[in-house]
Amino acid sequence: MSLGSLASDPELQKFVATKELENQITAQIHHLTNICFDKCLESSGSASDLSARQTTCLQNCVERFLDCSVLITNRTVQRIQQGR
Amino acid sequence: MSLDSQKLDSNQRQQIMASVQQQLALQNAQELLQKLSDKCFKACVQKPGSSLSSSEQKCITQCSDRYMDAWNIVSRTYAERIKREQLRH
Repeated sequence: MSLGSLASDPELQKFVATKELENQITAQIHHLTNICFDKCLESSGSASDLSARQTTCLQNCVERFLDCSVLITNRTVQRIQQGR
Repeated sequence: MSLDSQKLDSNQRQQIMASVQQQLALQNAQELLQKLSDKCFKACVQKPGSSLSSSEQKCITQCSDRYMDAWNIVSRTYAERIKREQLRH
């Protein structure tokens, strides 16, 4: 079995592409949890369960972070197109 | 080398896929453990003593449970968002 046969196997290529995407999503989830945990659970002391407010905060945190990166991406594309 | 010998048989393919899958799962678990240790050490061990006190241990246990809860909510919310965005486009 050569490296060439690994790279040219179409089924394997498809598998690797899927796994790469999955891995990116997982990395993003790690990143978001890291940020939103600090934002939403910082002052929770030692409660044994997440409160309803914390849950909502986590959901909003994810949504607004994604809104924010969409906004920044669009703005940056705009600036590049305007040649600034 | 003939063309045939360059092709993977389905057994080899399965083996490679399983091994990749396993490595990714391990990597994911390591990443999670790393983040958990960082967060909960910072949150629960203010002044490291000669051993973990029982209150520190309790804090660490609860902190990691809550981090896992947060991870689950974040991944659910993120997955739903991706689904929504896909429907929009």
